[in-house]
Amino acid sequence: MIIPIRCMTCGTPLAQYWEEFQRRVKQGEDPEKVLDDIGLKRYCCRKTLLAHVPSIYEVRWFRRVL
Amino acid sequence: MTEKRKIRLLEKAPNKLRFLVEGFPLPLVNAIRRACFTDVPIMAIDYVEVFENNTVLYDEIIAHRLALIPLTSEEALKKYKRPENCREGDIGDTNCYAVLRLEVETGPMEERIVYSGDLETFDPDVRPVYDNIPIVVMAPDQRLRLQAYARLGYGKEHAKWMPVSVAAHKYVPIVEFDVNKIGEECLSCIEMSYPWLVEKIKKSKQGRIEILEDINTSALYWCAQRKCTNNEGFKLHYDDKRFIMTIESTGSLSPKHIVLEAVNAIVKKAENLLTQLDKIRKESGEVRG
Repeated sequence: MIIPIRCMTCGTPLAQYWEEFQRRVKQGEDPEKVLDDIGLKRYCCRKTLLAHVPSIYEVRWFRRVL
Repeated sequence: MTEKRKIRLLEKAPNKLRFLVEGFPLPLVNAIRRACFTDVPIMAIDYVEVFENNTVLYDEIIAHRLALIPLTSEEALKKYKRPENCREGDIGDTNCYAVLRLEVETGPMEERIVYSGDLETFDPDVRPVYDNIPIVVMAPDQRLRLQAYARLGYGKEHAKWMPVSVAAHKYVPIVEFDVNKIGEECLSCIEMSYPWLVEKIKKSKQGRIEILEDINTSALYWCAQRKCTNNEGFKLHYDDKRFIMTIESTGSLSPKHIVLEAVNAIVKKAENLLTQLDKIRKESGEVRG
């Protein structure tokens, strides 16, 4: 849905890296290098950024019925 | 038993601290590690009043996301009441709760992402550590208005109050080697994961290396167990009297501050135990000098 604020395994805050990560990967950089640059070492944090699908950009158009 | 007590700093970064501990018993080192998780209070949002929200994320999800945002607690630790006095407190109590407000609205053609930096804080000492954490992605004609109350809390109550993401200790790995006796298979096994170590071994021929770098030695252990058994050239053992402690902060407190607070918490608990024991002794009529 939307990027998790923390890594659900170890608790490191991750969401602040999301936009930089997304931008650089879209520009064609190797995700591995971007993650190394950011300084995320553990694979729990790396997978959280790597495997995230930001579906909120599609879902947000729906109205909530209150 | 009087061993020399020593602490040596190995690595210091804004959110990370590694140090070598010598002469302290394992139970004490472990107690400090665990106190880092559970007994160091930090600020986190605990109460959220939602006035208006027609974004796609439910109120509860937004409240949960807000709670996980790390807030600066360095000054708040001195200013606000401890969790024991606030758990049942009133949200109007300014000595317990810091107030943050969020008011965002999108026009008919406007889209935006709400960041943690949009949180308006009434106390400048309690603010989000990172200003670019996305909270919600908004579509046109949506509104979000809420007021959040942050308080000090312990990690044992909820993970949002944990000041560390990693607090760990391990024994110091020690490598003893002799290039002339080392097997080819053994060397190539080590070289696969630790090329720098093989370089060091080849350079100094014979000797002893303490691995104080921030690396995982499990592959080295595997090599030593499986590939280096037939010869005397390579030995890996762990010094169980010395520990490498790693503290990684989430940003709300500095790692140094976390360790000091953890030690304080342990001291307080020990003192409490002693006074309670004294009380029991007095009640049972036993006199002690």
